[in-house]
Amino acid sequence: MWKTVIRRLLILIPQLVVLSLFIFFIAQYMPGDALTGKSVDPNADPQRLEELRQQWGFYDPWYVKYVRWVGNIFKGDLGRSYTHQVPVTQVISDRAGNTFWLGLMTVFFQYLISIPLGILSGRYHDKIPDRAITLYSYVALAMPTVVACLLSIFTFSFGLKWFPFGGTISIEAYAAGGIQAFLSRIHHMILPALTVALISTTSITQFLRSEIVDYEQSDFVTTARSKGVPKRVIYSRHIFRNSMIPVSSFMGYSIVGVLTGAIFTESVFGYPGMGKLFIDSVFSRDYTVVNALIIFFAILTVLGTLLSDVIMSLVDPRLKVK
Amino acid sequence: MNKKKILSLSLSLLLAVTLLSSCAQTSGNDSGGDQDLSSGAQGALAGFPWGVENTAKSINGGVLKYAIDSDAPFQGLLLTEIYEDDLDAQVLSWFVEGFVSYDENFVADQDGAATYTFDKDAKTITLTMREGVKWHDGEPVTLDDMVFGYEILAHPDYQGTRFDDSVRNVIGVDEYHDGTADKISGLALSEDEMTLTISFKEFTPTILIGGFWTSGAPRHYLGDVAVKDLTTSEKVKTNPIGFGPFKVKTIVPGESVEFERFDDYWRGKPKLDGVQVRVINPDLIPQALEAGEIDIASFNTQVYPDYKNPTNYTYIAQLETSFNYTGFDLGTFDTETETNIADPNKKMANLNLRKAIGYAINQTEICQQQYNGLRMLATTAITPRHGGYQNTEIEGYVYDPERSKTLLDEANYKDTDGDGYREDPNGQQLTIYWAFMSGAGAEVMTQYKIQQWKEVGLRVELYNGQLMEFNNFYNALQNDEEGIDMFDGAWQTGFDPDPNVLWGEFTVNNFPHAVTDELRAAMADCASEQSWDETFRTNAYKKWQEEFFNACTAIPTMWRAGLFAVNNRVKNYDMSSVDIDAKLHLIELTANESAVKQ
Repeated sequence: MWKTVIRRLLILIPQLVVLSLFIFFIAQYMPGDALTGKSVDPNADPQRLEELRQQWGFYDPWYVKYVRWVGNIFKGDLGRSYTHQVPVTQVISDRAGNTFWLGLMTVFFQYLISIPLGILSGRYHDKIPDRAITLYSYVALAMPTVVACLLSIFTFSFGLKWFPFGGTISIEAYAAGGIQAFLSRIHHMILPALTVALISTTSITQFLRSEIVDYEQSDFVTTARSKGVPKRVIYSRHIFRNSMIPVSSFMGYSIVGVLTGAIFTESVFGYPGMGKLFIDSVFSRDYTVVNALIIFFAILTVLGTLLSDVIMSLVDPRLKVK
Repeated sequence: MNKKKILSLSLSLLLAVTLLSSCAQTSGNDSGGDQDLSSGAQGALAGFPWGVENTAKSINGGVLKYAIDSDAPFQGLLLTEIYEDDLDAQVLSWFVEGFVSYDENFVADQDGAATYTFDKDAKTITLTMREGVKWHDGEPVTLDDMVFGYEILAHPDYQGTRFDDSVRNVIGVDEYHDGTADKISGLALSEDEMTLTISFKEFTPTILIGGFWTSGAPRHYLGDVAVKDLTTSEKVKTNPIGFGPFKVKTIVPGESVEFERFDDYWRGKPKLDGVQVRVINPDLIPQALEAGEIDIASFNTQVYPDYKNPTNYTYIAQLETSFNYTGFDLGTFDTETETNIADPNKKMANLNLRKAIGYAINQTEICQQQYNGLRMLATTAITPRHGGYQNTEIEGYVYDPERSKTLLDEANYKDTDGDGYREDPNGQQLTIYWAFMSGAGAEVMTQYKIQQWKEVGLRVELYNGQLMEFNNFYNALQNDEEGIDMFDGAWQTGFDPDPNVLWGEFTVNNFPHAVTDELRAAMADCASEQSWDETFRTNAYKKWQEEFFNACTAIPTMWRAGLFAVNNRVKNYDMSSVDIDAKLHLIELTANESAVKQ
């Protein structure tokens, strides 16, 4: 397996090269640049903007920019954000922590909610619990994230006052630090994580349900039944274990999904994360940040897929990663 | 200069959300309460006061909760010289002040931390620092700190946009920037560092209207930080100091800031114990206000109808210095000579056609229906915020479809093939391609206007058949993209409404690219030596507005008012002066807890 992992990682390198070339190539067709927003300010001095454009190398051909960019990466320098005026690594690392922890909690809630629902739904398929869960699944699937976020804030923050309505931490807790800061962060994370989890359980739930329904018809379950194995044991030993195999492989994709950021959640909850950073950077033409994030997301995606495959091979000895 | 910049910084945002209604810019803004407003503006704002009226007994101290409405975090470059973001400007306004303050006409006055005199012939301004002004760490503020501000801007490593023509206008700045001098020769500091004489290359009549840099930075605090490291320094991002009424206690990067009272504030000890500023998504503002989670917030004018009668907060409004306009493509900008050159063969070159376009639109209806009266029909390109300069005799393009039709008939735009649309004077099909930025409400607005133009027989279509994204839109305008006949833009004029900046012959900002002889003459008067005389200047501005209306290279469409919601417990908060920062220390509260919705 290790061989495969290493091989997959090696393939990543040419993939990244092609991807980055592609980004640089298409970037030149994007209208405007990082100073367009400034240049429509009547008080901005066109001469100064021109000077900065020269200084920042905006007029160089894309391949010159590309070579410079790659050269700098080898020096550990991803460039400087034009909008934030600080190194890209700093812009991203400021947000990465938030996204990571929020993402982790979201995945945790996702599985915590969807696995019991999937099992219930599968075990009682076509009965009332299954219908209710399916109905919920589709409502959740159809619910736009923004609406879900607003609804949950209106209910749980403004209405019941159980959770704060935005931010990652309260000012007081931030100043106090230590355990208080930790608890405040958790407290601020629960509502956005839970909201996203509640509307993103559909695929796991439905996947698990159909697996269970399939296994119920399988030969080994029929055999177990005929041998008089109690229904409870059939479900917990024979069906559930097997059904979990493909579901666990979902994990890798789920992690990638949440780590690339949740634009709407971050925006509504005022939660500085990478999804919103990416979109804002695209609109402000902050190319250095955009490029770094695309590469970062690409690496994550490859690693996530790999993780899924590895989990798969670990939980199911019949499969070998090839 | 800094004031002017603070005002204009939200511009890009403003343009991007031209239609997104309320665009908060609290810093350095005012409503010019006692100005001579046109009747339209007064009518529209009649329901909203400039400040809150609260006569209840104040409590001792208390913490005010102020919201910055944004769906993105603030960047945290908390130094006047380097910030670029409007959200940072809002944070800065609570703890940083410029050296000079401004009166209701945006002219520098003598109420700031430094007073000034000027000598027109010697082209100098001499500033004198008040005694007893202290930085938040207790060190005295001197004019050397202002010199330090200039040194940051002119430093070769400085990467911001504020090293501009107004800073370069100081003698010796270029030499300092090039490294041929180690001091800026045009900044002469007295021995005790309490007097500073600034020598300028050009001394224009509007130099006192935000025309020179009047901010500074604490040299004793930031002097050991290299200019290139300022944007990453803890002393800027998490522990900044100023000499404003409140000092920074805690900053949660990008999210919130806690301020505490600065007892040694030179205008007097602030009444509040502190202020909490936090970024809140605009969609949550109304609910957060009702729940008493915030005390002051800018309020979306398009959401306002759903929250017309609040019980626990009141609305105040302020006029903005910005306006929307419809511009016409009438020429090109020659980048070699940096001159706007009119082209008489352009599709929109016919004056009657342009005027007909103006009269065909019921702008007042749009303002009422879409913006609940918080936008007003703009009669000229100088807003009522600059009431003193405004030519109130100009009626503007008041909806008159019959007049529109007559104008077109006179100019021989007639429907010759009976399809309901007029052909041009040569009998060729006439389609006007209109560039419009995407944003909330843009779809409705454009379709409504296209319909109204159709009613007078004009075929107007969106350029490329769709609304344009902000970057795309301005990129197209700046590059003179072929095929755009007409476009809708917006400007925010800042302190000085000098038309030369936006509509001059040599400015890239003049997107219509046409300047008539009359306009040229009127604008020359605005910037002339005689303009030092205020009456002359006012008349010159008024004359220009008249010529601008006649030439119709662009049609101003809407002026704007910003709406703010203020909790019932807040006292002494008003926006009736340019120096809103100068009144922050007077804000009081009348209850320990914010009022909540009944």
